[in-house]
Order: sequence, then C-alpha cells, then structure tokens
Amino acid sequence: MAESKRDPGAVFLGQMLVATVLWATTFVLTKGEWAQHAEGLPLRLAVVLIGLAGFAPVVFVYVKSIRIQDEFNQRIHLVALAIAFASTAVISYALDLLHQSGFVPALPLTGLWAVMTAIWFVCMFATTRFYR
Amino acid sequence: MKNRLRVLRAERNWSQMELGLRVGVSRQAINAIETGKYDPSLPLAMKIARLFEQSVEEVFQLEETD
Repeated sequence: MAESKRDPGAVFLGQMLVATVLWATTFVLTKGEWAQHAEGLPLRLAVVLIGLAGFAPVVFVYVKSIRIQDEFNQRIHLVALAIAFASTAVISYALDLLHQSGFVPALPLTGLWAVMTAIWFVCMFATTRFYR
Repeated sequence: MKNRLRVLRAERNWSQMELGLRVGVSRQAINAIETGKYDPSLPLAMKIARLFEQSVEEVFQLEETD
C-alpha cells in the first residue's frame, strides 16, 4: 500500500538498480577465475544456474514495469521491442555471414542482447518523443 | 479516427493530465488520442465517453479512410 504513494518512475528505477546490482554480482561471480576453471558437474552446473538466477530479478522488474503501464505506453514498448527484435535478427544474420566469409572474427552471443537493448532504448526514446 | 476529446476537455477546463488521471491513462496517451496518433481500445473509449456522459459515437467518429 505504501508503494502506491511513491512516484512509480522512482520505484521502477530503484528496483531496476537493485536488480542490476544483483545481476552484476552474479556476472562477476560467473566470469571469475574459479568459474572459468570449475570442474565437476555440480560446480559447472552451479556456475550456469547462478548466472541465470542473476538475470531473473531484471526480467521480473522489467515485466512488472510494463504490466503497470497504460495501454498506450504498452503499445510504445511493443513497437520498440518489435523494431529491436527485427533489427537484431538482421544484424546477427549479417554478422554470421561476415564471419562465414572471414571478414569478422566469431563474436560472443551475449553481445546480441546488448545490441537489442541498445536498439530498444533508441526506439523508446524516438517513439516517446514522437508521441510527446 | 477523429474525436472531440479536445473540445470536450476544454469545455470542462481539464488539462490532459487531469483527464488522464480520471480515466486511468497517462498525459501522453490523452495527447496521442487527441492528435489522432493513437486510437484507444474499446474499454478506454467507453470510459472516456462515460466520463463526458456521451455515447462512444458522439466522442469518436470513423473517417473515410478508416
């Protein structure tokens, strides 16, 4: 009940900050020296699960933030996500072809969601300005 | 789709923010509806029409191109 009296934007930013710190912590943990040389099934599985668990709060906060928005803002999100999805598909396909032809080295898959997030941010900014 | 939202709102001296709060959407949503950039869902259109004590057809009209 107390949450409804707070600014929803500030609440979202606060929750996203906490979620990002949690994710960054698990990221550092799973990219550390011990994780790179983890041996045995339980330990290797733990590295994967810890890494994935770190992402859960970010996804939860993001989905929750969209659910509480009105239909218009949800539409803006949908348009931005659709553009980001299509752009990422084209970029990943182009990079794959470039790699196959020897123009670029193999790139890490985790870079793809960073590209998608960046495009999504740009689209959100552009559509928000358009409808302002 | 065209609408009489701006006129109806002005008659009551409501800001876009105030109207948005009354029907549960953001100021940006009201602005987008007024400028014809966004067509509201049926529940939202009915909520707006009910607020102005008019029918949906009196507030929102289809255009030739719709």
